[in-house]
Amino acid sequence: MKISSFTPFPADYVADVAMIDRRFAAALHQLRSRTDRFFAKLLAVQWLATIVLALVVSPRTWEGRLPSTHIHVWAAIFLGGVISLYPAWLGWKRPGRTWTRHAQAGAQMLMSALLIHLTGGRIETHFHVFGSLALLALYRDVRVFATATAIVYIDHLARGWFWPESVYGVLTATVWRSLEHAGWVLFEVTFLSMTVVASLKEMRELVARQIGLEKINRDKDQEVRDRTHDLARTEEQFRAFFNESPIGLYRATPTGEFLAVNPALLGILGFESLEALQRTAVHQPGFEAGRAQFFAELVATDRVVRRDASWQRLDGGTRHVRESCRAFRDSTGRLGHVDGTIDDVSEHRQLEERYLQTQKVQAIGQLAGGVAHDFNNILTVIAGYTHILLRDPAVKDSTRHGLDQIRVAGVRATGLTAQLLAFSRKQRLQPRVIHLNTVAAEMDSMLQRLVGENIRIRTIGMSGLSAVRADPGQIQQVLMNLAVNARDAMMPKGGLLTIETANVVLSADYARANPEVSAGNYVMLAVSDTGTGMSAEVQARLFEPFFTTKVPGQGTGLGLATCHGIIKQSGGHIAAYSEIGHGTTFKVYLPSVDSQPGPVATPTPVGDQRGAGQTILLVEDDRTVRELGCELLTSLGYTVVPASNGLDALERFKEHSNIALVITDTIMPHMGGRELVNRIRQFAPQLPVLFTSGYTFDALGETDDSLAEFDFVAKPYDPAVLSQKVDDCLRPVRN
Amino acid sequence: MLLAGFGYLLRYEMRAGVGAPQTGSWPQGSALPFDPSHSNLVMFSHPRCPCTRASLAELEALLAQSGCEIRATLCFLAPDDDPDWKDTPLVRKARDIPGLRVVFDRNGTLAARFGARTSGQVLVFDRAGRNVFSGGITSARGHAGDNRGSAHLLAFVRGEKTAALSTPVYGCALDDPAVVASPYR
Repeated sequence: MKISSFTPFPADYVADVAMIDRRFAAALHQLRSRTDRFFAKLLAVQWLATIVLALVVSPRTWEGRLPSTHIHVWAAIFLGGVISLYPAWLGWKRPGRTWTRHAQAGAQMLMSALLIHLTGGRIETHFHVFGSLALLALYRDVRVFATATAIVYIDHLARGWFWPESVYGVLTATVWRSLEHAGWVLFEVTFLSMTVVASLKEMRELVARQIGLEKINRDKDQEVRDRTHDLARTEEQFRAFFNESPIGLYRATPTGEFLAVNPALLGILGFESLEALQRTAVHQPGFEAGRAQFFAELVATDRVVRRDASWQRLDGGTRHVRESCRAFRDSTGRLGHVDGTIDDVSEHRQLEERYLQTQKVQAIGQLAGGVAHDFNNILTVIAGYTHILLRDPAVKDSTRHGLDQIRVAGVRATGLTAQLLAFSRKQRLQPRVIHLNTVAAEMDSMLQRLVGENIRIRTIGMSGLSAVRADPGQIQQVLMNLAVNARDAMMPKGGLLTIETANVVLSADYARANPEVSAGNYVMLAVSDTGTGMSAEVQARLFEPFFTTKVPGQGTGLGLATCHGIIKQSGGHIAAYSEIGHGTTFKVYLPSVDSQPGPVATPTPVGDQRGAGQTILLVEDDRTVRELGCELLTSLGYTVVPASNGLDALERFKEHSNIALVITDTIMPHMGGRELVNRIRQFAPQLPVLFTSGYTFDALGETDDSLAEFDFVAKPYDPAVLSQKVDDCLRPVRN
Repeated sequence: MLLAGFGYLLRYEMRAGVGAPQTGSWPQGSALPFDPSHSNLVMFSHPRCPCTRASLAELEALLAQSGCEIRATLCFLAPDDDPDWKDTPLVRKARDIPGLRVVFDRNGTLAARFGARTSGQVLVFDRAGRNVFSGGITSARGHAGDNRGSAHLLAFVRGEKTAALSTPVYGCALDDPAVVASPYR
């Protein structure tokens, strides 16, 4: 069946004609089944009505005074039953079948005939025929009209033929009279049929529209399901994001009271749940001062507002947080809520402070190193000429005393520059494999003298302690500095100084918290005291050069800075743990090594070694140092060819073919010592070279590894050390 | 069964009762007076016969069209031993019909006099007392509507020239079976 062109659905919704046919057939079947049941009831009711009618209208027939039951009563009961029962049963038990509705159509017409009989042919009763036909239209089946019409027509025709008076009131009637009667029936049936056909068409269109609507509804339902699913997924993702976010997230009222917080935020504040947090809400004392003011400023703007704050945790600890929030308003502009993020920057802050401290120490170190370099040149000249003058027998005693004071001051100044170089990690270390237990044991008596009698020293050396690679002299310096520090903390009451060693493993977590340390096996040297302890502020600046809590004149502020520099230069780590009133523990960690300590070389006795007239090329850009060097070496019996820089030295080398040794400063203008040696060795590959510098050898080695093969003497050099070094360099040549 | 049922029903409805014999004139000595100034119509009726309702309806229609040309009398059978027979729906209906005189025929005396034996029996006499019609005015038992008797009488009251006519009478019997079987009838 063609669907009407005005059907307001897309083509694909009405394209499935087969589905429309099926649904239309089903709908029609349902309607006809319903109508079957209706007629089943109607027939039953009509049957009862005819009986009642017969009993009321013509209950009895008479013969004089003798009554008997009227035949109409029997006809209503039995004939009405025959007419009604079977079709009614069909309507009830076999609804929807073609035969059922034809049977009911016939029964309805026969019931009309019976009623006409029972009412004595009243013209009004004939309306039952027309009413029944109208009711039969409920079937939406024009064929039932055929059945009904046929029965009516056959009834009239037969009676008109055999007993015309019973139909037409006359003894003779034409067939046309029958046709006239049937014609009126056909008149109604025609229009009913037209109505039925139109109704069927509308029904089919309704079915098509219903299918279209169902399709639209299915599509809409699917869309709703899809969107619901998407929404749920998005919500789940958002929830996961909220719950698993590494930074704290919250939603709060405009006054700052938390409405929702994520686990990260609870963790930052140390609470178990939102409820617990709400009970200790923002306005509780001790949570965080100034938050109310912050929210008051926040809600006054629509922008994201940030601030750094310190929040107190439930356990009393403090967390540094960066809070970013924004107030949200609804469509009417009314203030709704505040969403915010809390980033715990405590570790970042700690690292930042540590980095700044390191930067500060490095800056001071660089400054100190630079000062020490220049100062060493000066000290070289002072110490050198003092040495020369003191060797002069012509110097008077009074003058000699002054020169000796200059020499002592020079020695002290040399020690000071050595400390400067130590904390700036630019001193020359002589590392070897050692046992810290041995170092501590060797210093025991010396430390006891150092700390005094009020302080008892307890040494706990771990058996099976691993070895470390470090400069034992520098480690002794560290131990001594820490002991002095402990002594000062325990004075004047005295106390217990504990020196302890142990094998420890620094974990990856520890390494993360202390980025300057690598995880691994270490040997720990701990120095603990029972002194006054240190505040957090003091601890923060502990290793800062020139920082001291001692009264002026009692401390240089270089002790712990020197310890820090030595340990760092040795590849280790030093940390302090202290509590006010309970004491302090310094822990030194040095990387453990698998090898065992070797025998300690006996130092060569230092003395003035005299030359035998060998020619030495002395290269030094500092004029005074150069002149001192010339004088010292000449006094030792060498012939000196001075040069002010590398280029100058190269010229001199070419002029003098008998040069036995090159003593050169390392860093000079125009051409440095290393390049000079390279050039010279192109002509004399075996020529001995002795480097000298105000910087340490290690500091120079950081920029030039090839220097390691050469001998070195640091400024300010002691004349005796210089003579020994020169002799050492020339010995292979002599041999 | 349907055919048989309807056939039996139709047969019953179409089965005429015993009609009155042709008397030719108004019975002599009848307790019912003859009005020579009009044509006289006498109908005999069983007051409880359901079929006679149709006859009464036909009579009412006829009287409505006849004006004052005919004097109509309806004689209801009235047994002495049952006074209820004088107040039935049919009697009440008859009393309401204009121009119809209702009389009660005690124990069927009048009916016997006129030879009427079936409810709905109509006898019509002209002014001269000649019987011009004898029979029923329905086409079947209890069936109102067109019928030969009514058509004939209508033509008669309109003054049309008609021959005497006799039609079947459809209705209940006026006589008891015992009376019918009586040798005195």
